[in-house]
Amino acid sequence: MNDELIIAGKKIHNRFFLGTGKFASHTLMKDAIEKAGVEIVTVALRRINPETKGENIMDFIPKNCVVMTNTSGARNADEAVRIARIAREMGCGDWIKIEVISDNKYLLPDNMETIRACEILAKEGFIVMPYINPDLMDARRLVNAGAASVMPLGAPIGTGKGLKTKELIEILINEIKIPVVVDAGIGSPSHAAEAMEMGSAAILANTAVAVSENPVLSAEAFSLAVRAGRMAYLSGLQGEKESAEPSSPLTGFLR
Amino acid sequence: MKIIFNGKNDEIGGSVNVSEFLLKKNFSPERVVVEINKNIVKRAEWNKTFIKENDGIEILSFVGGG
Repeated sequence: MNDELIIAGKKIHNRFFLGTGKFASHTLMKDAIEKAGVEIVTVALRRINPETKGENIMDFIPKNCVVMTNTSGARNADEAVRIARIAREMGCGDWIKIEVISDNKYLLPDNMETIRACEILAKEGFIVMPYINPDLMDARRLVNAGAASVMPLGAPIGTGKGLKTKELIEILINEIKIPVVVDAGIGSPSHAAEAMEMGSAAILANTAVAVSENPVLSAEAFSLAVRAGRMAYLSGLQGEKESAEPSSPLTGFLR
Repeated sequence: MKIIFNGKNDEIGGSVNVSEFLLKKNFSPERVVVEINKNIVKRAEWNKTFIKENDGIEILSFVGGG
């Protein structure tokens, strides 16, 4: 089945994207990426920490992966743009997940600043993947601003609550023509499968994998769930009905 | 010479270039980015860029993130 996701000309076969935060070790992270066949990962940019000078995370990310720098830490568009330019200077490539958050309790993104950052970065040739509250008007603005996808949250980061914003995500899937990648709040592979069955283009998860007891197994489970959900979507499921309909014939009964 | 390094007050002995600064701090030059006063210093310029009094220097690298 040739069902490739194409973002900015890049053919993506695995619609499960993985964040690299919170893993107990870089080696564990690498094993999870490899076992699950992940092709797209995210990283963050921080001041160098003298305590952890030893290992460099980039040495543990397979060479075939697209590394998408997130702009976490940015509280406004200017800070996000600065991070993106730094990432590019470091030779990380042009894929940027815009993450602009000034709310420290729920870590909800600032859609307005995200749009502003997208406008600037898209003009500079970045492949912009904006993390947003699922708002149709803002998603349209991002399409117009040159975003490569929209990344609506399912639930606040790290909560694992699943698709709390399900109906708003459905609206985006129906109305927005660029890929809709559900990001944040995905707590289990069944959440991921659910999002894919709805027609999401891909899923990004991090916490659920990294903090599980067996992150390598968890990553593989997510990858399979995303694949199953995508196949279910393509198979054209009937969906729910109000009244029953028998599965066996209504004629030829043995009476 | 007083400088601000990664947001903290710091001192360096005399005028050094960026490459020398990284060496002094024991940071390996691969996979870091250097900013001075919020401007990225391109790697090719490290040997020619000297740190001045009160400069704000940021040494940045990638870490895990979602």
